Amino acid sequence: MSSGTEPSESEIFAASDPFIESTEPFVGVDMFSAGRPTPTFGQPPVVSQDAVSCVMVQPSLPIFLDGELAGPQHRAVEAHLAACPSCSRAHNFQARLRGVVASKALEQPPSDLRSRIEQALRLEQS
Amino acid sequence: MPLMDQLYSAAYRMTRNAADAEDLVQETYLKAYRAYERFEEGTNLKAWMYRILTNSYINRYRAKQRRPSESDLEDVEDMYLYRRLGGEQSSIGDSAEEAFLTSVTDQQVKEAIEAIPENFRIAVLLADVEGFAYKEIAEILEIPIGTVMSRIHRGRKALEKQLHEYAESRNLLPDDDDATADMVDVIEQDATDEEVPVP
Repeated sequence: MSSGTEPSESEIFAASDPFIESTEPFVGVDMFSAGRPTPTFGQPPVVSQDAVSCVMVQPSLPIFLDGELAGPQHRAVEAHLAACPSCSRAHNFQARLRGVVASKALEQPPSDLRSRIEQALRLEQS
Repeated sequence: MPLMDQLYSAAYRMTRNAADAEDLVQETYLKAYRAYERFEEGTNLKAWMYRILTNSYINRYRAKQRRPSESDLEDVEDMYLYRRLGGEQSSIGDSAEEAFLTSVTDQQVKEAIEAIPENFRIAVLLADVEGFAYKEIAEILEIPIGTVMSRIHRGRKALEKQLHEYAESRNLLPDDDDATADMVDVIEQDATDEEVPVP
C-alpha cells in the first residue's frame, strides 16, 4: 500500500454486513465488514503488506470464487493470494472442489424424454 | 428444446429420482410454452426456465417432505473439508487433498448434494452446478441477495460435511487416526511389558 490511489485498509474493511439487504444496486459483496468481528487470538491482527490478512481472506474465498466480491476487495484478495502460499493452496483446493462438484453432478436424461415432451407440447398446441 | 439436459440434471438433484425429474422437466416446458408470451425478449431465458422449474418443484414436491434439520450445520466452520484433509499442515495434507479430489465419485457427489437441506440445496445447485450469479438466483427464487448468500453458504457447509464423511469412510483423512494408532501401540506395548515374566 504505497500510494493514495488504492483504497486504504479501513476503506476496504468498512462496510455493511453482506447478509443485510441494501437498497443500493448490487455491485458485489463486501466481506471485510466493519460489523464483523476480526479474530485476533490475543495478538495484534496479522495484516500482511497486501492490506488484508489470512483471517479475513479465507472466509471470503467462496465469494471470491463466485466472482461476487466488490471490485476493490476482489483485487485485495487476488494480491493476497499471489503473496500467500497458504491461502493460495486453500483457494486452489476450493476451486478444484467446485469443479469436481459441478462436473460430477450431471445426470443424463433418458433418450426418449425429448420426444415425450415434444409430443406433450404438440398435444398442447392442438 | 434448449437446456433440457441441464434442466433434467437440476430436476434430478431436486427430486432425487428419475421419474419425478422427468415429470418436472415436462411440466416446466409445458408451463414455459403456455407462459411464453409473458417472457420478455432480451431477458434471461435460462434464468426464466429455471424459475419455472424451481417454482414447479416447490409447489409440487416440497409439501411432501418433512422440514430438514439445519441446526447440525452450526459446528461446520469455513473450509471444513480442506482443514480436515490436513490442508493447513504444510506437508501431510497434499496427498490427502489430491487423493480426495481424484477419488471422489460421481455417485458420492450426487448423494452429497442430495443430502443438503432443501432450501440450501436449490441455491447451491443454481450457484455451483448451473453457474448462476447471485443476482440471477435472487430473481429465480424471488428472494433477496442476502438470503441467496446465506443459503449458498449454509448449503456448501452441508455439502462439505457430507463429502467429509465420504473422505472419512475411505480413510483419506490424515487427522487423528495416526495418533490413535500410536496410542493403541503404546497401550499394547504396556500390556506386553506386563506379561514379560520377571527373570
